[in-house]
Amino acid sequence: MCKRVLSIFITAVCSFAAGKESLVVDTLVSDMNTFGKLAESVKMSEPFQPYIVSVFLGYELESIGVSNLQEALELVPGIDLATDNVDNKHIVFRGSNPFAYGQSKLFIDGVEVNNIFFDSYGSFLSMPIEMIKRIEVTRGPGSVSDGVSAYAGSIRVITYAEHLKGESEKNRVFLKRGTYLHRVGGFTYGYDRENFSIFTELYFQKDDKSLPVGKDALSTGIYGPLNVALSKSGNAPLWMKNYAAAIRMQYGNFKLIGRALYDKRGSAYGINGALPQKSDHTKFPTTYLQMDYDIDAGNLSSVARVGWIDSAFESKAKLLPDNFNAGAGIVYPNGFYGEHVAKQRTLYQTTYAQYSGWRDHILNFGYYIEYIETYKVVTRTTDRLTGIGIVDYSQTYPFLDPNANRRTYRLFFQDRYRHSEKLAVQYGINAEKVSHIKTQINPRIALVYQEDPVNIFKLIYSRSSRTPSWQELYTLNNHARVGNRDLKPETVNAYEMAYIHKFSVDSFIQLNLFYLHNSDQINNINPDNQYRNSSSSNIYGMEAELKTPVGLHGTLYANYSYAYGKEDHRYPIANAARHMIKGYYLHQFTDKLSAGISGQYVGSKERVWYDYRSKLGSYTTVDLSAGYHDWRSGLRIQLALKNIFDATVKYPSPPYNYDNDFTQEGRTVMLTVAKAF
Amino acid sequence: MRYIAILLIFLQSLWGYAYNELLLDAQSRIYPKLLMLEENISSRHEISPIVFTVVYAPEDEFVAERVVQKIESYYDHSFSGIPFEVEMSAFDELELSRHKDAIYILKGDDDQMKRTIKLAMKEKIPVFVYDFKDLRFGALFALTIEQSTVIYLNRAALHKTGLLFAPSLYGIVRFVDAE
Repeated sequence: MCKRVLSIFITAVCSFAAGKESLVVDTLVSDMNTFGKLAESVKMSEPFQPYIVSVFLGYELESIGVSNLQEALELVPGIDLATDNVDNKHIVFRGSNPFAYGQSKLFIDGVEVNNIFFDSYGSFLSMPIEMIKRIEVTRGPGSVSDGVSAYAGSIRVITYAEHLKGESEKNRVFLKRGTYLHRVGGFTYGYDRENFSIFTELYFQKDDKSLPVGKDALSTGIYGPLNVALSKSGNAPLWMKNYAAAIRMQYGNFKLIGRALYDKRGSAYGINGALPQKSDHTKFPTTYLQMDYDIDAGNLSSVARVGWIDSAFESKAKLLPDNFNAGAGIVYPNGFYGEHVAKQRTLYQTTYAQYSGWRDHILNFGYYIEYIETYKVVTRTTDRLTGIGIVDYSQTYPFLDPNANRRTYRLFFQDRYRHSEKLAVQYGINAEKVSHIKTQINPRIALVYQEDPVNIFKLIYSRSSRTPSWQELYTLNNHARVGNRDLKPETVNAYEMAYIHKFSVDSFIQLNLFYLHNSDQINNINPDNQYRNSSSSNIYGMEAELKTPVGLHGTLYANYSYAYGKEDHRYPIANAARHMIKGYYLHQFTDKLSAGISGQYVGSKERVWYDYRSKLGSYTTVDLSAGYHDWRSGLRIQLALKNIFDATVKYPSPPYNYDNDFTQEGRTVMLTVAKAF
Repeated sequence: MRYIAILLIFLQSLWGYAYNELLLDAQSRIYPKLLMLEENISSRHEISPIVFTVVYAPEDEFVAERVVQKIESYYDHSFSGIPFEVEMSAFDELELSRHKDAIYILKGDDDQMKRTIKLAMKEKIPVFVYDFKDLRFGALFALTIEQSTVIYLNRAALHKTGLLFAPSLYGIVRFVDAE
């Protein structure tokens, strides 16, 4: 009897223990899945993902004195900066078509913010680093999982609106002061309660920057020999007034994201290449609102999204100097003034889903529909016939087609198949139909082979296309920029290989090789200034990246990139640096004090084949920073000295423009005081 | 410039390691569960609490405090009805007679790591580490995030310590031989 009771008791205890163990194991597996998904969403598992991505953390960038998004991107391997006559800066990936703006896309908290007119995101490059939690830069066409297929690369900025459990520093306030009377202020504030959360951010910045520039475009004779003597040199107005407000709300399955950006800046080098007056300006405002409804039903999750974007280009400037001779006996005695406004709005709707119920597969599929239209065009200029007085040409001689509109339909599918612990394959297709443009079919396949915990290999093929921008298609009645409705999209076939060796959790070396075959590249570098599918190019190169702790107290990051190619098999690719070296070293002296040194070398750049100037010289800049950061109180004080040796940094100008190129700032200083709470 | 470079290279400092917040969070959540799968741990702790100790270098005290808070927020002094306490100890202050149930080591220099893990193994104490590379010193478990979350179990350390875990755990982890 006793034996029986004991046996029952032991069995009961064992069953209870087994039940408890099974419960622990079940929740353990569930936790592993949850963290795995989370890590993928925040790109922590990036070395193992089927893309070539560099991830930079905002707080790390702050520590080395980076001040804004542009400075952060300058550290990314394979990335260079270019600008134009209105200082609409854009990022050039791997030397691919420096004359086009939209070859890369910028996403802020998942919303694409390239404006419609230029397909650029220059206004967002001055976004203060204090607003940025993380930057993920994908080189190459990237993913088709949510229907967006970038061309040369994509940049994803994640703000502190993304707040993971246990993270500190959601709320912060900061002030900055620097050279050129640069003043910046802003804050972020978040509030969570059960299934409701709200996050807001606001920043404001202005400066009075102007930089010396050589003789303007008139000196080249592009406006005829009679106007050469009117050429001027002096200071280009590069001042800015830039502010933005954003909100992100979530209630249950609903999510709302909104942002308004006001960006007003000096007319820089003049739209037509004539040096502007100090008060001349351009504006690039953007406002958007996006609503998501998420559904999560076990193995199937989906997002239904609708959004609206309003973006504009505005310019008010003296475009040509006094006594400009327009030919046919017309002279503008007081110069030629222009007020140009083009406003566009975008409506889009997309639904995409992910299904993970098929063993070892994760399927993504969905559609995207978009409608864009121009709804306001203003063209007021000096009287073109008499040269005296201002005339409204909005109806008779608009600078942009006032009826421009476009519809886009996109279908996409992607499967991520995990063949084994070591091998994963991702393949997908993106089909896009844009009004007046032939349907584009863009496939992608990527293999990731993980030999062991520390060695990872990737092999990627992708095709992508870039639809011409509004400016390239619809500009009218402007001799400096002539639109072309017959443009075909640019296309690229990209082949990439990567090898990553991880030394530890956060130290690695990565080597990427790439070959890009670009077709139908668009630019207006021709005697008529008309946008044309002017060339094809083959570009090959490599990127090497190293990040490693140095002892327990230092972090070293360095990269080298090489890109070389030819246009139409004849001419070296123009305006692209063949060699670039970038990096930083950050050292913590105490738990509060740190200092950093960072720098970049950007190699020389070839000109367009018919440009008579010698190639643009290389430059090296070195920055220093020192910081005090009390992690407990959240107080941070940072002093950054940029370009300490006052190196001459120039971005290339197009042929027959400013012969001495576009000089950038020399030595500058920035002081930041920030408080997290 | 030369002096600045020399200063940066040779100045011995006290601080430096930036931790990955998500990885800390995942480890804070998962490591105690792995410990609960050690055979007989519940029977040994019906009354006295399990003591899970976070071991840190002096400069990482703030990080260790946050890890303790994270673990306590997940397991509020109790795990499946078993008393559970989280403590923290600097490398130099670690007393294995008191911190005998499990240790979770953040970053440290190689000597500190080697010494601490060796002593813990001798006492048959399961050692969890922040960085998977520290498995080479004989730590038992490391959680990393690769294509998915991966738990590495050091087979050599398992044999040396003779520790036993619930069989179902062996189906989840990935074995490595690191010494």
